This record gives sequence, C-alpha cells and structure tokens, in this order.
Amino acid sequence: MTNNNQDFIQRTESFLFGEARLMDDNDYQGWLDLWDQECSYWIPSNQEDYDPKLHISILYCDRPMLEQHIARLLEGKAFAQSPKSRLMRSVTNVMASQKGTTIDVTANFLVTGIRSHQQHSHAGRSEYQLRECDSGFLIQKKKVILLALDEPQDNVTFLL
Amino acid sequence: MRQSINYDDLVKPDAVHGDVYTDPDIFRDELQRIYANSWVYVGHESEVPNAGDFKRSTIGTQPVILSRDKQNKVHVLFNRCRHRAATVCQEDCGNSKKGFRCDYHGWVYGLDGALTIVPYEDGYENLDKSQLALSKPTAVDIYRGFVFASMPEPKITLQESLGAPTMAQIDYFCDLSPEGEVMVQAGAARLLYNGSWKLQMENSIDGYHPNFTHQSFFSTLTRMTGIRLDTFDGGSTAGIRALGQGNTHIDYASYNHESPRKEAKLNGLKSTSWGREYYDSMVSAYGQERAEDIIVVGGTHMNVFPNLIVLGQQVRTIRPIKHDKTEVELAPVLLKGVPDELNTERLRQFEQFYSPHGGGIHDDIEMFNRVQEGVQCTMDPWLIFQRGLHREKQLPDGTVSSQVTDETSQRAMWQHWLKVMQQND
Repeated sequence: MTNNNQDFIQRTESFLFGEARLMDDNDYQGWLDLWDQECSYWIPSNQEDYDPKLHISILYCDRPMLEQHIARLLEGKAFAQSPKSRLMRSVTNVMASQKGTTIDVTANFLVTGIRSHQQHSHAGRSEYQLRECDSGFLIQKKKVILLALDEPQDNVTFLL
Repeated sequence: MRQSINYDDLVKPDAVHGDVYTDPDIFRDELQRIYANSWVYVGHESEVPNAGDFKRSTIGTQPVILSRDKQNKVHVLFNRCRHRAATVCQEDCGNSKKGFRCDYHGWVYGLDGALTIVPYEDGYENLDKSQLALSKPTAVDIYRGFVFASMPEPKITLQESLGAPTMAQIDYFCDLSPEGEVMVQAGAARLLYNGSWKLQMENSIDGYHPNFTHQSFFSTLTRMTGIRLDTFDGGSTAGIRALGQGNTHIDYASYNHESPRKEAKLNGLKSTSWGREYYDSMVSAYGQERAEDIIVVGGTHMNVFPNLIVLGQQVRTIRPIKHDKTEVELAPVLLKGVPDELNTERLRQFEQFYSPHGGGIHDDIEMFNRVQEGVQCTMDPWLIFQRGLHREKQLPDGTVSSQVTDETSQRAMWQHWLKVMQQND
C-alpha cells in the first residue's frame, strides 16, 4: 500500500539522497555502513529479471561478498578506480510503500562520471527493500537495473 | 596509394614496435590478412540450440549471423542484403520462424541464407534468386561446439589450424561436463576499451601481470581465506606454453597436481553432496584417473589466434572495432549434466573477477587504456617481450614451454602475427 504521508516520503528521499552523496564521494565505508547485516545486492546483466543461479550478473552478492568488494576498493590498488571517478548523480521518481518496518522503494538515477578526462553517463532504476530501525533505515536488498545492462560497459567500477 | 608496410621492421624475436597498436593502416591490413583470411571464431553451437535460433556475431568488423535451420544445420551468414546492402538481422539474438527479412525493400532470406522472396519480382528481367543467397564464408567447421569460419578457401583444415595441443586444451574445458558439453547460455558480460585488440590477446595469457595489476583482488582473497595465492610468483611451478599457430596457454596442470593442492581440491569437492554427485558422474564418464585429472586441472586458460579465449569458466570473444577500439564479450558456460550448485558456484566465481563491476577485469582494461596512451610516445618505440627467452624449452609434442611469468606466449603470438601479416593481400 502506498503511503502518502509527507513525512514518510521525505525521510525515504532523504535516505536515498544521503546514499547518493556517499556514492558520489566514493565513501566506500560510509556506504557499506548503510547496509543491514543480512543483505543482498544485485545488478542484473543482459536482462532485468532471471534466475541468478543459472545466469551471470554484473554483481550478485550477500554481506560477506559485499564486504570483500568494498575492502578491495578501500585498499587503493583497484587501478580502475585509481585515480577515482569524479561523480555526480540525481535521484528522482521516488516511489515508496511501507509494510510494518519494511519499506519498498524504487527510484531512478542518472550518474555522470569523469575519469581520465572522459565524461560518461549511466542511467538506471534502483529497487530497495529498507528496514526501519532506531537509527533510521538500513538496506536489506538493493537491485540496480542499468539502462545499459545489455550493452558493452565502459568503466563502471564506482559505487552504484 | 599508401606505401606497403614492411612488417619485418615491426616485430623482432624479443620486441614489438609501438606502431602495431596505433597505425590505422596496420589495422586495415589485419582485417584483410588475419580476419578475412584465416579461421576465425564466430560463436558456439549452444548459442543457437533450436531450429530458427540466431545470434549476431562478427568476422573482424564484418557483421555475420550464426543461425540454425530447420534441418538443424548451423550456418554462418553475412548480415548484408544482396540487393542494397542493408543488414537483414537487427536483434542480437532470437528465434525466427521465417528467416531474415530486409526491411528496406522487403527481400526475405531463409535461415540457411537462401533468397526466398523478392517483392514485385516481375520488375526484374532475369533475376536468378538461387545466385542471390546471403553470402557465406567459404568454409565453416565446428570443434566441440566452437564454430569457426574462413572467408576464402582455407589453406589448412580447422583441425590443422587448431593443432592437437590446442584441441587437447579445448577438450579439458568441455570435459568438465560428464556429458562433454558446455552450454554458452548463461548471458555475457561485454566490455569496451580504447585500445588495440592485441592488448587483450597479450594480456589473457600473461602470467607476469596478475600479482601487480590484480594485487587488490589477490590481497582481498588472502584476507578472506587466509591463503596467499602463489601461482604467479617468479618461482611458481605453473607454466606458459606456445601451442603452435599463435595459440598459447597458461599451464596450471603440474602446479594444480602438486600435493596438497590436488587433494584439497578433490576433498573439497567431495565434501558437499552435490560435489560428490558431480565427482561420481565424472568417474563413471571418464574413469577415475582421467576424471580426477580433468577436475584438478580445472579446464584451461588459452588463446586461439586471433579472437578466441577459453579461460576458467568462460568463452571470450574479441571484436576489433578500430585500431584503438575493441569490444570483448565474456560468456561463462554452463556444464551440461552437472548439479545446478556447481554451475551457480562457477558463475559467482566468474562475476567476482570478470564482471564489469567485479574485482579483476577492469584493472586489466585500465592497463590497456594506459598502454594505448603510453605507446603514443615514440622516442623509444619498442615494447620489450624478452622475459624468459633464455630458459624456454621445446617439448616433444612441439610446444614451447617456460615459467608462468615468462613472455613465451606473447612472443609466439607476435611471431605468428608477423608470419600472417607478411602475406600480401
């Protein structure tokens, strides 16, 4: 059920905008802290939906794998992000609904990055399942559907 | 008329001139002398499993269609209407009952390329439709599902072109399935970079770079598992091999067979119920000795000149676009007749290193971009491929072998490239 409560929408948006800022700032640790201890993060490849057991993904990970992914980026020797991308993204078209402490959210994003003097844009839609807790929201699930999910990718090694 | 290039001046036994990565004229010669003049990998049979299935591919920069007709025969068709040259197939892959229709003037071709419909045919005085099928490469041949095509009449057969050592490696890759079949049906990652296609070929069988380009991946792995991977150390017992015809191989066989690695791998596999099930099916398919060898060696890691790489879980295709632009398609395979858990585990392993958001391949791509920029400096134009030249050995099967970090593989690739490029158009 869509909850039109203004305060609820505002809090959800403000969480997404905060997340966007952490990703734009390449703040890997700060972004990891937004995730729940049990979580799943999926960026599908080639098509929007399928069984990830028998089809590859651009990323498909649980909490331990997400930590490994972030640890590698934090080390400073991930050369595709050394130097890092300069990033700026807009998050729009936010829709959210709440059931108990669980919030389902979808939002579109457009991220522009500059690296090695080349500017690239990537568009997509993110689907979240958030959990409300004392400190605010935590990400339980996130699925990022890139517009170019079936195209040759350039450097998309920044946070999505 | 441009001056013809003297290729002898560009490739030495231990060095390569920077022009081979930057000169558009050399790229044009490559398309003609390599891609339009020898066996080239087009796709895998399993990508078009059913009658009517098709997939777009390329021979060099030329668009082709891999299709399967109603008699179950696989075809390679040039994607160019014989009338006024528009492409007749737009979708990357799919299934078509009727074949391919050119949307420009409505000419229709069958799945085997035969021209079936010409609208308002009575407007032509003498149109012989049988002479106007979609063009085909002169020869198409298949080894273990890998479809190759040769535009001119091939000077040697596909089997001669691959050679026994290369076929043995493809066998290792396919025999990981107890039914001996791999299926390229799990999607693909596609990457684009601003550099020569040869940079990807050099890099795929480069055992010197992993400890440096991929140090973030390996150190993360060490933190997670407590094990430091020493495969690519200067003293590692892993090898590098030149297989003939410019085909090359990183050889983990003896390294993987060493104790306790071998036992750890087999016992690890047998510790899960699905792993045990897989092990048993492999033993009944191949006998214990060969089954354990296949499992322990774990597939292959090889280049098939000019555009196929068979590596770990994947089939990788190189698509040259320009002298400084290349697309790479990385398609992990599913093993036929194994528990889903094994295929899933292999897909997750693939993603960790090879997906566009994973921990490995983009650091390679970063290096290709850096080489393509660096090679613009022409004061000292030679790239050095000298490593291990003094210690490589010819083996009884004709292959040349050396330590894994040696540049035996790149030297073999470049010597073959030179031989092919010296042919005149």
